[in-house]
Amino acid sequence: MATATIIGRDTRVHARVSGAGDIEVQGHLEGELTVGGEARIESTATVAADVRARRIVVRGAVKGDLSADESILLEDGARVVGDVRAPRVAIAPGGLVRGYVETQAAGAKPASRAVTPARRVDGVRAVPPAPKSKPAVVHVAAKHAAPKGRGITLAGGKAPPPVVPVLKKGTKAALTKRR
Amino acid sequence: MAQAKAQIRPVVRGSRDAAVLGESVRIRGKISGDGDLSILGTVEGDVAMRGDLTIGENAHVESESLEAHAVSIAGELKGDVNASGPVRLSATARVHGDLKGSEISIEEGAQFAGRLEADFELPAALGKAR
Amino acid sequence: MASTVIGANITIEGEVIADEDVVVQGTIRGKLSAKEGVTVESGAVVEADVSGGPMTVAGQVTGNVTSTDRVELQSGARVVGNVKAARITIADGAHFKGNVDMDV
Repeated sequence: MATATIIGRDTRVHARVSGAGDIEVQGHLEGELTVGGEARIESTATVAADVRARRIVVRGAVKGDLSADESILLEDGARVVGDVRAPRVAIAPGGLVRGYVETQAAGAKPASRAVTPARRVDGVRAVPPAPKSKPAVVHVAAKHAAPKGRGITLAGGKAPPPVVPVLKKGTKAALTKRR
Repeated sequence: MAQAKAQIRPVVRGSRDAAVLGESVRIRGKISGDGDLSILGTVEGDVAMRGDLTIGENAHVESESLEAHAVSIAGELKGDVNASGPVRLSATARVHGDLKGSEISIEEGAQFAGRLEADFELPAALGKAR
Repeated sequence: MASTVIGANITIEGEVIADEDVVVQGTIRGKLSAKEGVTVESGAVVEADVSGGPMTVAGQVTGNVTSTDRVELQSGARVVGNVKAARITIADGAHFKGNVDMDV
């Protein structure tokens, strides 16, 4: 039996989540979600991600596009802002959608992009955009001054600390080999 | 399908009674009225009813605009629906168009392509996302 | 009750923040912060800094491990990184490379 994956209701995930199994989201997920099995977005869940799976069942809130190889079920309580595409789509009374909904035969275009090129996945929570323009007086200087107090600096500043711990030489190969 | 000529005039002024357009009826033109309407045959043209609208399983409707209170669709529709009440698509429905209504439900098995515009707020946790 | 479970066939690339227990059977790359216990099961791969309450590791962790309580490296665990916790147990058969800081 495939191990069940659960994002608990007091858990926040900012990540790209992928895999072969089923997943149940009760908490907050931001990024991207692609699983080979069933994705269940429960009533307490808040998901800001495109979701791809074989089957998708939604009872919670989603901001993002849903696409499934088999079916998408929007149950009572579902609130979806985004497009919904699957060969079979059902919306129960009380399921709410703002977006384009399409039932289509399997193998039609969007399903084939199961593996998407890595979209921006900010490992750590999104860094707020650096202020675009300071008051115009010193705009040339401001552009080159390193903004203060931000995790990431613009050109000329120091590189941001790595999000992922740096692997010692050889360990990564060892890790991948064992899998 | 029987090619019986429509005996109903293109403009149907309904009373509170339900009007039924039978399977052999073909209408091209605008239909409006206060009561309920069931379309079991073929309609090409706009429909504006105060009451409920039912599109039967074997019905074909092509329309720029469908307005009614509750709308249930079991047949084929090309066109947009603007309902003041709920819109229901049953499993046999084949609908191409945008749906507006107080509540939209779609049974699994229905064929559908179009926009849904439910009015609701996402939880605050998603307000700032993306 | 374990509230968050990352199943064996799931990969997470990014950050996981949990105010509850986390059990990892699959792969996490990025960062894992939990308020409660963290269990890295045998077969799990964690390439991330991990922080949380009591921790049990039987799988692989590459990254720094910080616990407000205790860290237990079980037999078969492979940990590369620094471990900081009030109490640390390293079982026979656990592989560990890094510094230990028990000054919490």
